[in-house]
Amino acid sequence: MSAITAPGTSALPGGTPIQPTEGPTNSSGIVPTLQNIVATVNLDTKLDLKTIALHARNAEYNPKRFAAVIMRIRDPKTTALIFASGKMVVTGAKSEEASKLAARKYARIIQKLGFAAKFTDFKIQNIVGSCDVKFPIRLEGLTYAHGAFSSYEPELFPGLIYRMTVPKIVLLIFVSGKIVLTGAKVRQEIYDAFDKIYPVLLEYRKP
Amino acid sequence: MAQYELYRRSSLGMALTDTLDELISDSHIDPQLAMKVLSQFDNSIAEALHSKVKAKANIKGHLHVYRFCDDVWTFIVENPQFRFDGNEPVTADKIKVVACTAKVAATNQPAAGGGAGNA
Amino acid sequence: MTVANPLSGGLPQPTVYKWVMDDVTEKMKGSFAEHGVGENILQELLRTWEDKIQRMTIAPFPQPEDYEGAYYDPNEYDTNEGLPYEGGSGSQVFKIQQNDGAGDDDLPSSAAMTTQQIDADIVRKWEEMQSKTKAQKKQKKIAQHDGAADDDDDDDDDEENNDGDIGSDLDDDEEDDEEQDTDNLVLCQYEKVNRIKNKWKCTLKDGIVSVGGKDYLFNRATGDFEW
Repeated sequence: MSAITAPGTSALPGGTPIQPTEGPTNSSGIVPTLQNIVATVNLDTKLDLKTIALHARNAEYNPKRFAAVIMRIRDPKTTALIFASGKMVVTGAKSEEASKLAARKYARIIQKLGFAAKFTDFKIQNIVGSCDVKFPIRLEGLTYAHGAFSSYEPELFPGLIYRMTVPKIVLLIFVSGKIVLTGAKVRQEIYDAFDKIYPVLLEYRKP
Repeated sequence: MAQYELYRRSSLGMALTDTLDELISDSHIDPQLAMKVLSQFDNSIAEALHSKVKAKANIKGHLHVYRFCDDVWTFIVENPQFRFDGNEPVTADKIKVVACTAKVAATNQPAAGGGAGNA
Repeated sequence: MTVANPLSGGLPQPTVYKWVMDDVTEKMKGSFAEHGVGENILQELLRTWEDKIQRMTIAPFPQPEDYEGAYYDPNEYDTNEGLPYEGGSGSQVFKIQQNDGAGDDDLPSSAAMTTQQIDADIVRKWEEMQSKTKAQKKQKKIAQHDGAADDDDDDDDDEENNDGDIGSDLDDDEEDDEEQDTDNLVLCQYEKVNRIKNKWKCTLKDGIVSVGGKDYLFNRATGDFEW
């Protein structure tokens, strides 16, 4: 896994570099699970979406609503948005390799329909992870102490939104102890962000 | 109420098309008249299904392939199970479902559906 | 022989088919006269059509002698039942664009054409339609390949299986059974199609179900599918 073996370098807000890690280093033993990977790829050829919709399987095309073909494959279980420009967005994969394999499979499907599809500029745009610290959290206290990073408006959304700057990750923290982490380009950022927030969560653990 | 050429693919529609073809081959009618018969068929079958049929059905199964294009849904369902008005289920290994939108049919306004009816 | 569709207030399928055949025949009388085609031809049309349906055994008809009693009697049921039906002449024929076997393209504007040209065009259109239908029938018999790049053996010898390569190694096995056109067919209209994760729910109406060589009709149906 390239995203794991190539460690991301990150620094604490104060500018103190932290050691690149290859996995979770906090005491909890909790490893966030990757829930969704969003990737883009350029097939580098103009596509006729109607041809694709009429001939590919498991495709939806409703140009009145959305200017892309929505296609799904079962393995890896993913959804692709395919645009006439040849740009494609693949969502739903649970790992970097699955995302890339899915993107290649979509490209192959389009190629088989007679388009000169290439596979260029594959890029992971976002990685979403989640975990459960299994204890309740005082969100009011947390947002008060970390006002610069967090917003908590229970009337609008039941979770606390924590915008970490390094690594640049957005965390959704719920009173139940469930955490969603998003905005990562590599999975290490998810792990680093969780390692960094975990001591804070412990601090605001409900008695 | 919209009429679709869709039902021409049914056994009833195919039998009519074959019949018309024979009548044309025997020079009994010309294709122009045959076309008129087919569009009358579109009307008659639509009315029949709409107002002469009351049966309710349920279809269950594994959706192997779906497709949506030009306001038409196509489903390939594996191991479908049909129930008509709670009767004994009818099964098959595979079935293809072709469905046009009922929307235009319900409103009966040519403007509705943004001209979806025009090829 | 069993009647496929229970009554449940509506008409059984054979009776509905008979109604359609009679309705088409009745409503075409004027057009046949206009075209100078005798009514005997219209009766032949009806007879041949009925024969074909009977031979398909999709609609078990009673023998001709008990025709009158067994079939559609306008007083037998209330045609005003259910939703009002807006009459045929004013309503619009909406063409679907998929290959439904019927000619999709509209006739060229008749204003600019002579009668002969229009006739020639209709003949052409009819022949096209027929050949399409026949091609469709044929496809059902012959295992169908999707035609597109089936023979790309050149990238089968995947040298290194490079990440950026997109070759046939990526094809899912199931893909090759292609649409496997089945004779089992449902033709209907949809009101709603909803998906939550892999669960699909459809509200369908006005359907003809053809399964195992038998036809069934529904006024409304629900579909529950798992993808």
